[in-house]
Amino acid sequence: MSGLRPSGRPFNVRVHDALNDDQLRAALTTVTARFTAARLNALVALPDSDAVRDHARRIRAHTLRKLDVYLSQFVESVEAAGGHVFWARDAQEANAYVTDLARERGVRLVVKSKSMLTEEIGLNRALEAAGVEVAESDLAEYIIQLAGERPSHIVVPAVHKTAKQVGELFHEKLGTRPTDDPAALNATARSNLRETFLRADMGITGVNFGVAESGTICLVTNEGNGRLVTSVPRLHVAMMGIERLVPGLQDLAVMLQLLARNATGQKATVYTSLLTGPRRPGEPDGPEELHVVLVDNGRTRTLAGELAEILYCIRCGACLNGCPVYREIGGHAYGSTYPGPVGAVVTPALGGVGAWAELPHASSLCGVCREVCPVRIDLPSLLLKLRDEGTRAGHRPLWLAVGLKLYAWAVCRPALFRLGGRLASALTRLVGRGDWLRRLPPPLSAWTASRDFPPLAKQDFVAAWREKQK
Amino acid sequence: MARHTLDLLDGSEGAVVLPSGSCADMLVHHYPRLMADDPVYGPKATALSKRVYEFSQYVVDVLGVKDVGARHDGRVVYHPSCHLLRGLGVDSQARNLLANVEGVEVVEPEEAKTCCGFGGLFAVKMGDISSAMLQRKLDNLLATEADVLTGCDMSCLLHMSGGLRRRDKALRVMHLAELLRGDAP
Repeated sequence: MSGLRPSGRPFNVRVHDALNDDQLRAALTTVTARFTAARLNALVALPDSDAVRDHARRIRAHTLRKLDVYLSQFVESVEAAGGHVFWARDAQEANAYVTDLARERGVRLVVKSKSMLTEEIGLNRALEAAGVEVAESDLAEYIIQLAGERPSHIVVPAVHKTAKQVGELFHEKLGTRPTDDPAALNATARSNLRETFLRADMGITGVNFGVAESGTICLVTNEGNGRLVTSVPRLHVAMMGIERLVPGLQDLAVMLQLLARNATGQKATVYTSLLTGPRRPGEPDGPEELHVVLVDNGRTRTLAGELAEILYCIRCGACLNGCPVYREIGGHAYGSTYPGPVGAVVTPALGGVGAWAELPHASSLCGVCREVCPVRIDLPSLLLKLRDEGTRAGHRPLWLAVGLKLYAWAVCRPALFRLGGRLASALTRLVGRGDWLRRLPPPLSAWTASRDFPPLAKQDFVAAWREKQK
Repeated sequence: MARHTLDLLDGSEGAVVLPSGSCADMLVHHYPRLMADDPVYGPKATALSKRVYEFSQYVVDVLGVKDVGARHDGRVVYHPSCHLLRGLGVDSQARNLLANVEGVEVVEPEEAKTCCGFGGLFAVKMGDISSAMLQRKLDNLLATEADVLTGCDMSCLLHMSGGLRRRDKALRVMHLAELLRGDAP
């Protein structure tokens, strides 16, 4: 199952569960507020941050406009540095290449650093099905893997779990003493992972940025696991979405000024690794082979369509942390690898609006996502485009389709509209006996579940205005 | 519907002033985009967008008035509605008008710029999420112990009024225009 296919439980059930999970909502409140504040502080401290954002946006726009050119250049550069490149049209091709490679090279254990792309294409399951053991080495991903769950945030995948829950999980799965001390939990994971790193035959990473001019792969991590994954095992496989390119190292520098600041509020992550090719003769460490898997999986189609701007995204997660909807329901309710405002666009863009018709509607269009996006993606407009596309494809409840048609029809006939207004006014005043209404029939019961509805004014605006003019 | 509205307003002259930031944002930003490919209504939408103002924006930016000589004794909290704030970029106008009201104490809530959860049909289509957002907003507003909640968007104010009635609290809701006119809360 790929990360772009919804789970069996319907969207409203997932939302309902999330809203009733007090622990989840408390964790989300704390973490999103902390990241939002840290991001603001980091941007205030960055001289001329608005100009840097504009610059970054121009780089993204330029790169994607000439993506074919830069991809060819990137492939040439990687190959010149001694790496192999495979173009995967979709998840299946990407997974097949990696599993075949593992089989051919006799790989028994794969160690991974955090990669949302591999979640998107379901690579772990494909490898496990081929009899290869897969171990996540990012602490949060390690926790998620032990729990058999999915990430709920693109930067901090285990944001929905408390230290206490992690302690219970480690106790159950690893037999450690129950504790909620983060340092002790970290030490447990660390000692378990050391041995994994040494045993692993293949390291799999994502790619934060690929540099076209040099064939360099840039990885940003805070735990140093990315460096072990790419230097200890004899094979390194880098999984890269085709849009994740920058033309040159100069451009990379602009992106790196923004990525950590917007993600966690750090100036830079603890580790920023630039990897060019496999180990060269005379070098003490590094893999014997480097394979870069360029994954399309709907990206070319997206680039050609109206949602192309979503490919500017550098996966910082700022729009998740700022979003008032994400903050209430968390990542799992979205059901996709990519949650939050960016997920509500990128998921239907890559996976098809049919399977994800609700996601573009899970937004009040308040505009915070557009405000915080480091590359200024106009997310509300993209959400509106998706709503439009979904509506045209018939993904809309009947009451809404009929209701809106009727409303628009009446609005264009002023006499009728005023008559309708007078009727609605009389009705609401009659039913509510002049007071606000506490209950309305479905679908408006969704409003009165938590809000009263006012009786409509006795006199409409036009009448009141005419009376005043007399 | 947009074409009908454009035809109606086409026959008018001068400024079009709206008591809601979201409606003004619709006419200023979304109509031109909606009609971009229409040879007749596209230019109409663009022309209209240049003479549409939200109420506080019109009073301060066009009329040049920051003090209307109003009086209100009490503690007031202002909600900067999303489309007014992030859509039209209007914020200081209403705050200036409010600050110049005699006798008023303006207080700022936590997470002042966060959406109240209305979002038009979102409040019905995604009623549970909308309600959760509203409750958080009301918690923050009530914590200020203000007497009056004011703002420049009828729909957000309607939404928060509806929620406040279930809380049985003393916070009253008034549009900024009502407050400036000196209406009783």
